[in-house]
Amino acid sequence: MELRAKPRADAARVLLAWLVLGVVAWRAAAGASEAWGELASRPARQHVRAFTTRPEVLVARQLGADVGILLALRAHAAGARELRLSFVPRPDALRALKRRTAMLSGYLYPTALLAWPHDPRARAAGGTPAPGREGFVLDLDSGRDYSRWPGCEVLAEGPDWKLLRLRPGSG
Amino acid sequence: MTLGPLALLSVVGIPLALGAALLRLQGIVPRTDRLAYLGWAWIQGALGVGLGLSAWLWVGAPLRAAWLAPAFLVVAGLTLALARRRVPVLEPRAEGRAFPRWERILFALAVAAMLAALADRILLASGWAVAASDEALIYASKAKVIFHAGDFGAEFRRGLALPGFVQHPDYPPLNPLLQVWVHAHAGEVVHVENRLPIQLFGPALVLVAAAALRRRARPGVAALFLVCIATLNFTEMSMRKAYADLLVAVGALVVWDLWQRHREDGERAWLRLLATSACLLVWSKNEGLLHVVAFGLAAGLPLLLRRRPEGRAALRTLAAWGVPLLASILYLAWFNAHFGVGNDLVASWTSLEAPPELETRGQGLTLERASQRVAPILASFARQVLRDPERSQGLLFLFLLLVLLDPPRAFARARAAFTVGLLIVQLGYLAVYLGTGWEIERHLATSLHRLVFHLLPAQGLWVCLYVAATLPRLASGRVDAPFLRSR
Repeated sequence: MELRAKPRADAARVLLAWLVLGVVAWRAAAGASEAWGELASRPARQHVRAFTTRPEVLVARQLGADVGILLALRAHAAGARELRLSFVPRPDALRALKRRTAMLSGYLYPTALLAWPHDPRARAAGGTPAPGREGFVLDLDSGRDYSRWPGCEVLAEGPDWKLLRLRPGSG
Repeated sequence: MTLGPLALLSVVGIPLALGAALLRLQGIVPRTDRLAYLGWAWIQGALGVGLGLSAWLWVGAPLRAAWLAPAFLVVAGLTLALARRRVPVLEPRAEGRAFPRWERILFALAVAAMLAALADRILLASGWAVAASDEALIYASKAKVIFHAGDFGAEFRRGLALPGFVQHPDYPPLNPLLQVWVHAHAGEVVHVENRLPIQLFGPALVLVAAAALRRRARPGVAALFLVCIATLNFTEMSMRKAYADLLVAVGALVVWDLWQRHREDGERAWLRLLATSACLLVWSKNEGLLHVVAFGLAAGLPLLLRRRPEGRAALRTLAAWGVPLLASILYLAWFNAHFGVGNDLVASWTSLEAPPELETRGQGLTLERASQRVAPILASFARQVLRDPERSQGLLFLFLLLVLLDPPRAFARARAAFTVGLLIVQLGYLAVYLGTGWEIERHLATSLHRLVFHLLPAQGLWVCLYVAATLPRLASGRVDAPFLRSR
């Protein structure tokens, strides 16, 4: 019995091993074809873009319209340690905001982006400006009223942003 | 490109030179294994650069390639001189069976095509700056903090503490350190070339896998398995994004390949290389520690319990050459404690100070919570096994199938440690999800495919061993039959 069972087990093993090899061959063919298809379908210029495009252009492409913010910061606030980010903390827009600012902060470092949320309802209820605010502010359409900071200066602006400087003692 | 040709040559060449010197110290030279050599050299060299940079940063020396490159070259030269005098070389094994020329050419073409495909992906990825996803938020951000700080002082601490800038600051630092290596060559933070040292683990994977497969299987069969591993969804993804998961996958493959090599021919040099290469696991991701523990339980523990002299000798080699690994584990734990950063999963079990986005904080690892998660975990895992074949190329499915259908072969003496080690890691990963503080579906969706990938190249090798053992005509003839066939 045992003698008969062993060849049977070995035969089953051999069959299994061939089946396994069949799956591997199928997947290898599929993998090679997918890889070739993906590589061959791209225009040649994409394969050499790294050599033909300056790094600033690649960064600008990632940032899209926000590249204006990066350029404004480099022109007006280069070397600043901190930049306050004024925004309205709307739950529905928070994810997009997080993504946008994460990308920006990656290129801005070592300038640190510090959240300075603005809640218009709290403001209307009679909130007073935080004392001692100074330095650079990136305002993302927050609607914050900067007239409370008399020395405030707008350094640059884009479609939905403003780069401002709050002067010491103006808060 | 920000870096010129000479700087790029230094970014790649110096780790390779350092790696070659470290390999020579362990008795490995190019002729030991011509195919795997460059892959091993890159692993050793990248680790050497990571460790060297860490020491450099603690000293606070100028973070400039003009200082760093000569320093690494001097270390490589001294290591090589020392090794050539004292360490005997591991000679290659005799060639196996002769195979038809066309088959050998097919294998060579497969290796070349996979290397070319990965190289092209690196070029394609270089048309995009590092901007989003984990490569930017976890690794590139930490590299920027290190580079701008210039040392591990107060400025580094400030950067780590910036809200939301460095995500998972507790992750091991090899990936960011290798990016710092590139920044140091540019003299500024770069946003494209910094991926390169991480991406080069892709070609290293191809070379190491090709050598491991060809050692056991005939050229045509080895080529099929190699293409599967090289075209894994995440291998390709790792050429586009500088994640650390590729490093873990390479580390796991190298560790188990070298273990099997030692089992096959008894050479102690494989164990030395294994012990030092295992450092890649713990320096890359926290999951790497689980791989090391699994290896210790599956391979080290039986050696400890074995009374035979060769088992004792193997254990002594592993223990002696495992000192860098142990030191790495202790150093990395101390490093995180020193800078006050920790694993958010552990924090979710033990503390109320875990990140606010965690679903449960300070509730401990309760049985009730864990039991609610079994179903979604198993469902997600089953999807990884059975669906999306391009994700795993069927290798995970085949591994589990063979373990289930043929346990006598899977757990036979020659391969038992390999099988048990892979299963321990798999179970360990699933267990982590039982206790996660994150919302379970989200945690599974964002991480399970990565964890599955960590094991796939090693599982590919395991399946290849099974096929070569069962169908001797498909074996390479280089490895003694008992070590393939199992007793």
